Amino acid sequence: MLRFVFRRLLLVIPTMVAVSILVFLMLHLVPGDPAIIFFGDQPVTPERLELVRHQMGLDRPLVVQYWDYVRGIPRGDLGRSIRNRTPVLEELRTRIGSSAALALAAFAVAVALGLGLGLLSALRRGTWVDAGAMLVALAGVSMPIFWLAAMLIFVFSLKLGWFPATGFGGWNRLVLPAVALGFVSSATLARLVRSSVLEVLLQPFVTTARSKGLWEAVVIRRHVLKNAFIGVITVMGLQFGTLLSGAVITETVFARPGVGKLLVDAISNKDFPIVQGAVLFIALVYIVLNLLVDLSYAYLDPRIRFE
Amino acid sequence: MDRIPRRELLKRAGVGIGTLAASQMLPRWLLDRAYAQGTTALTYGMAGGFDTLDVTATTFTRVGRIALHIIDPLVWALGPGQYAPGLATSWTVSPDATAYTFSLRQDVKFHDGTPLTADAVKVTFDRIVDPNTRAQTAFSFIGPYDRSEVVDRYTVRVRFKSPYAAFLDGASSPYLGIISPAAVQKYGQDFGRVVFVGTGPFMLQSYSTDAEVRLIRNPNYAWGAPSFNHQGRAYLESIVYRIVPEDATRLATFETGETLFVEDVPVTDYQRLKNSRDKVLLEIPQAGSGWSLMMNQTRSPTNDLAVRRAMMHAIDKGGLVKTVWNDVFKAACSPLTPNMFGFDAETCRKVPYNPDQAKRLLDEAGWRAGPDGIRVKGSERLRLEFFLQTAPQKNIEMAAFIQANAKQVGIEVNLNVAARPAYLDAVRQGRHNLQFWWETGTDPGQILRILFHSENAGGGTNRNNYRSPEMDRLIQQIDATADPAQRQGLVSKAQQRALDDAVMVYLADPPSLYARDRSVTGVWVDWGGNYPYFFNTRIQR
Repeated sequence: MLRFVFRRLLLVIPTMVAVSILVFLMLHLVPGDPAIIFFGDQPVTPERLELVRHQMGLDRPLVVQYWDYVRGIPRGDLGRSIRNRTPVLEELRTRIGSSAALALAAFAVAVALGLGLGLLSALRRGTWVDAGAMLVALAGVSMPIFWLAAMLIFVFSLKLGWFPATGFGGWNRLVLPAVALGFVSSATLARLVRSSVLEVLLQPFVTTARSKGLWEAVVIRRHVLKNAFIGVITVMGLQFGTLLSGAVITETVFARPGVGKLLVDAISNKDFPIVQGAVLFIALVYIVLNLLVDLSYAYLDPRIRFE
Repeated sequence: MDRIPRRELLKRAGVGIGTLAASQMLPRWLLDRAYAQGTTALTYGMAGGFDTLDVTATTFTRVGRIALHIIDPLVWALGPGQYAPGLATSWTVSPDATAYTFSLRQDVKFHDGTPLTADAVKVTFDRIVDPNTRAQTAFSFIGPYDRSEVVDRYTVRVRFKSPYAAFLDGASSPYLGIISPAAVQKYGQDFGRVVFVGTGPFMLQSYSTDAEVRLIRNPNYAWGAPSFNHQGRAYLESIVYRIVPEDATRLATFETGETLFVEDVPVTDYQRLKNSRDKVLLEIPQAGSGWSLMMNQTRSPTNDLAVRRAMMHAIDKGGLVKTVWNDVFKAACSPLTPNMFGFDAETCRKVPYNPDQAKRLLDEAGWRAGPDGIRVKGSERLRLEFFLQTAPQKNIEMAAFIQANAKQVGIEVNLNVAARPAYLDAVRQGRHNLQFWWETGTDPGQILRILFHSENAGGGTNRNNYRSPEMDRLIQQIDATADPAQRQGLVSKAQQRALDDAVMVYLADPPSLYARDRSVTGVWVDWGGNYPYFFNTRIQR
């Protein structure tokens, strides 16, 4: 087991190198000169433009630019933003906390709702409970998040006055964004849980368990859920990654700083170091999540052994 | 599982319902506490983030809005061409407008305790032109700066390479606000990112990127400008600028009292706030150049004067401001907004909306209607490439209106909606026929230079790529002329020239729209509509 974890952690290095090369090349292939974007609609002479290009280090060969970037990484130096010269690590650090808080809260909402609705509709298959739960899930899948977010603000902030409209600082500012983001991801989860549970319910070992006279709750918890979870937990892992790095709309509507928003802004400004830093961080999150998901398989299904 | 007695069940249900009810009350109670603004802290809803708090290096007006509280300008602009003492008690201008001598107040200290001297002015201005600072807005405001000379401890002379009559306008902006040389030296690249030290009535307490900026009162402030009738400390203890980019959310925070002052009120909320009992809308005509269309003269078919003239007559500006801007914006006439020094009212009569006139002009120039109604000349179709950015949404609404108007007279407008990098690539390289422009500023010479001077053509801000020696000469004369009457004549002439050469189509003049809670009083906004200033502000409940 430990050897497996160690091997997987070693694989992080080539994966990150591949990600960094890909991002670096893609950024340079997309049209748009960062120096021109820097000046935007401000007056600038060709000489100043050239000078800023030089200050940004864009006049060096691509290989040199990449090498200078990579050299700093082992020292924890991800470079500085070419736009406002803030260290990339600091730009990330100031946003990771806010993103992580939102992702965790939204994940809790998604898991609670997704598992609850999915399980309920599978166990009450064909009844109005099933139809109702799946209707909620359908609404979650089809509802644009900016609309849901605006409605939540309208009802719970403007009309009822229960929560503040903007989501930064303090637990009560986290509720609305977490519900908006969590509800939308819970929908996918609910549908997946329902189909997985239904599939397992038809397995002969469930009938065996029931015929042994086990309590239904024990049958569901020990035999059905554990087996149905292999597929569900993979999706949950990926969803957490998305909640952490892809909550741009939620972050914008609720005025929260976050990694997703940082990345989108950096792409539109072609701020190479920030984009690279943010993508590396997101890649690392996914690698760690996938490892955790893989490890959880062994717990859920004792037949799986890591050698 | 044991059976629960009925009495126990009811008891448990009662506790459950009670807890639920209490939980419903809890957020309201916490919320009241969260919203309790008191009478000493102002929370400001800001419409977006920015690059850096360093007012010398930024391009963002929002940074100027915050920074005006942290720094003090040398002079205050009370109206077009009217200046009052700030950090400078008096000043003289050389007859050729190449040297300005300022006498500074002698009782001023920076937030770090160091005194304000002539040297600080020199350091601030030298830093603006230092290539390492990469100053942008401040760089425009400081014009043809040559050097600053420290005459004595409290007297500084600022010299320019060529006449620069607009310098007082620049010196009144927050971007040329005086910063602490000691702090600049101590913090280097981190100045503006983690610290920002000036002499203003508020000090930077904290800055969370994309979230909020907190300012606290400067307890030692005793040099309020005479025009504010109040010398000592500010009345507010703190100002919190919360960054809320989404219009609806920002307005929601304002309605709930989470913010007490908001900027960029959407035109859709204009009427509602105007009629509100507990909110007050502040509407200040914006100074500068309103929304307009630049027409690229180096690309066919906008290199044809007749096509540009036809575009000027083809667009129904009255209809545009009504449809897109709910009549909150006003139809524009000139490259300058009506409140600018030297605005020529004659321009409003010169180019009326007249589609028939537009058609006549195109007919005379040989553009004949083709089978689908779009005109052709020889083998060339009258098709204009219009490049615009994805945001703001109003851009796209205006462009669609223009497209429909142009079609009426036989001009096809092709909309290229692009993300910022691709958009800037296209327009800087001149691949466009049309693009939007909008500019705030309070000096006519500076605005006209940005729009029309040939030094800004070919990839700069003059994306009309308009090159006229006469216009260049007029702009240079405006910059060199301090005499108001003479200057006014020159500014007027430049506007007429721009209309005669059909350089741009002037669409809509916007107001700056802010809103305050009725409890907030004593807000001062500069005449250009850009900088709400809270030195005299009180919150009265």
